[in-house]
Amino acid sequence: MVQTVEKTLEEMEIGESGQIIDLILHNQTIRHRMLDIGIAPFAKVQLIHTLHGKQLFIIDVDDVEVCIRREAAKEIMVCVG
Amino acid sequence: MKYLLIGNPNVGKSSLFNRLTDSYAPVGNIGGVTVESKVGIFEHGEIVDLPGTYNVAPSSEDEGVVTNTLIYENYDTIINIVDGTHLKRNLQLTIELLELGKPMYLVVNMADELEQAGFQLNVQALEQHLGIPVILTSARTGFHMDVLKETLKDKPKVIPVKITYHPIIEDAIKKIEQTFKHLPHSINKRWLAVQLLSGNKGLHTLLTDDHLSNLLKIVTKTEQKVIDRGLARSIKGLIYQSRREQITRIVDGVLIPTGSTNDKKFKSQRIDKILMHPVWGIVIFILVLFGLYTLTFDLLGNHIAKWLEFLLFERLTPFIEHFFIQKGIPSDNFILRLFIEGIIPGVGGVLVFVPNILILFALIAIIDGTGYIARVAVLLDTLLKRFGLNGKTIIPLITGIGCNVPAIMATRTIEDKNERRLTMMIIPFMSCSARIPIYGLMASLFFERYRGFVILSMYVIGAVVALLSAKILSLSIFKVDQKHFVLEIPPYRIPSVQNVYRYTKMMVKDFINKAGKFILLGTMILFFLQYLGPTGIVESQEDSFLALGGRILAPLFAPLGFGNWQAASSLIVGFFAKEMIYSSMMIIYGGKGTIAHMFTPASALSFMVFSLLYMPCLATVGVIRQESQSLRFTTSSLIFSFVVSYLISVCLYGLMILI
Repeated sequence: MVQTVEKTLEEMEIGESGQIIDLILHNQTIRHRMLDIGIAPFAKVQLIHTLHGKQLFIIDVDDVEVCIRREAAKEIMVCVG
Repeated sequence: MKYLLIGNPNVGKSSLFNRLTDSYAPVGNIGGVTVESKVGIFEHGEIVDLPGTYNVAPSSEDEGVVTNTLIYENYDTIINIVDGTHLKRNLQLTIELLELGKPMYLVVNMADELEQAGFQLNVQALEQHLGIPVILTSARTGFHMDVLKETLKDKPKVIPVKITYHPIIEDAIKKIEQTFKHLPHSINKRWLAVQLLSGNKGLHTLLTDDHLSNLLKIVTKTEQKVIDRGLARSIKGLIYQSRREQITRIVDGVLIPTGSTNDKKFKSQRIDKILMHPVWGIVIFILVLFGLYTLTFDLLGNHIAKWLEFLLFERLTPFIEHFFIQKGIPSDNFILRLFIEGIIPGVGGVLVFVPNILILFALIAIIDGTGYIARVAVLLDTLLKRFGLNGKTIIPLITGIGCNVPAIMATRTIEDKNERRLTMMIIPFMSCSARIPIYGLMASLFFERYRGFVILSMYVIGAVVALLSAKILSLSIFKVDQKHFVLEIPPYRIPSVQNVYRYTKMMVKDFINKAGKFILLGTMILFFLQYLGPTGIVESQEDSFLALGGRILAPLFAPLGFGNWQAASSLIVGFFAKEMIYSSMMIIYGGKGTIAHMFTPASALSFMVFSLLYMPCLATVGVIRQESQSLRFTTSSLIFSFVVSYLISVCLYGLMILI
């Protein structure tokens, strides 16, 4: 049986994949912008790499490559496994 | 027929527009290249290319254009273009447009990349799901353009699409629909209700105060229910989920894996690791900029410009003068002098820089087309964050190197109002192409050996002043929410030759048009002004209106090293168009010899820096006023740039004298 773990995108390892389960971003405008770009619950996500001492996160969401800051990565919940 | 072309950013919308029409919309491999609508004509009617948008509800000013056009403009058909490789996300907008109930075509673009990714699209199945004609194309390669043109001939039938949302949302939709009985039948009330629930504030103008207050009550109540039941974090989130479920079902049914795989994505990620590396990325970026400016101003451009200059001043001017004198026209004839001392050096001297403009924009178009700019935006985000900006600011800043006017308009993609105004305030510090003639003139007269380096340093000074100003302003006047930055990184692409050609042609044409109309007129007025004074036609230039005006301001520029009326007059004229600084200097000083005599290397450098920074041109001021909707902001921005340029030039001149 595959074990799943819930963690924030910031806590993911490089190369690790999962499914977004929640966006807990407090800023509604930014949360909606994330939805627009495809960062939404049920989307498949993979952490490709991080930059500038984990200040920036390059992720692959449903085959779209997106860059977000650490502040946003902390507020995106992912189910890994 | 009138068609609206709508799609997500960076799906090939402008490329398709350019393929279908004779007009040209700038193309870049990054979102946000189109910020205002552009109209083009083709055999079946008129196409309006709208700014790229993720949904109908506006999140930034450029997206507001889409809502307004959908509601208030007259049009027959929508052409919705989507990226075939990102159907799940792109179809969100498609569903919103289908709900509107207008005739629509779906163009699934990037057919070549979809095939490379190992998928085949079942076009018929997608047509059945959506109830509209679907055309698979590749605007970049021209694949199926003939099929698309043929299909666009007929207006498609309207088959209304109804997505069933969660009962809480459906209940709210019904309540809102009831309050819209006063609206005309042409407006789809269900669509309106869904849009208002999604937070589309652009539609509030359709409502009376009572209706709006009623709507806000319904929205608040519904949102609370959605959150309390743990369905989503907002109404928009729940609506998005319902659409996504439907879209996932559709996409899973229409995309057929072909079994072929390619490692393009992994190769791209490997390149990214180098180009976005904090050290190597910066080194490569500096090398790219250095290569760009060296080719433009030193190696290639300089030689062609010098050759043209030789042809114009050493061959053509004496030939014309000699020709007319031989025909019996006296050498002091006013019209002849107007040509020899006014139009040829003023307009011709500006046109000599066309090769530099051509090389600069061709190279920018190539770099832009590859997708490198998005990598630079990521690379510089951490740095720009320290100056109160974010990586996306790099797009208007780079646009500013071409012309400040579209750069100010490109700030529409910045969602935060303060951040947008901050960017608008610093863009005029970016050295636009109109400043090239003045750099070329001063650098060739005083810094011939280091010409390329001196011109490059103007761009660097402009960028550094822009960043430092941003820092000061972000800490004082424009405090911004610095937390977030979201940027889609497009795949690498080989720039299309056609796009590079058409973009370069457009920029060079603009430059030549400006020289042929505005600069020509300005040069002629200037030539007359130097012979007109309070007593009528004057013997000496010193008594002319031009000298009188310049003399009032000249003492102000004395600490900068160029306190003479000629320089002051040129700077006043330069406010109308920056190219005019060069033209007016050539006329007022009477040629390069006098300029070389009146300036020193220190004052020349100070003059170059002042010309770069002192004030945006009239057209830029106009667009700042239009975009900021504030006279106060526009005036402040003018005063700010003048004070900054003055202080920097004083310091630079003082430093140069000391050295």
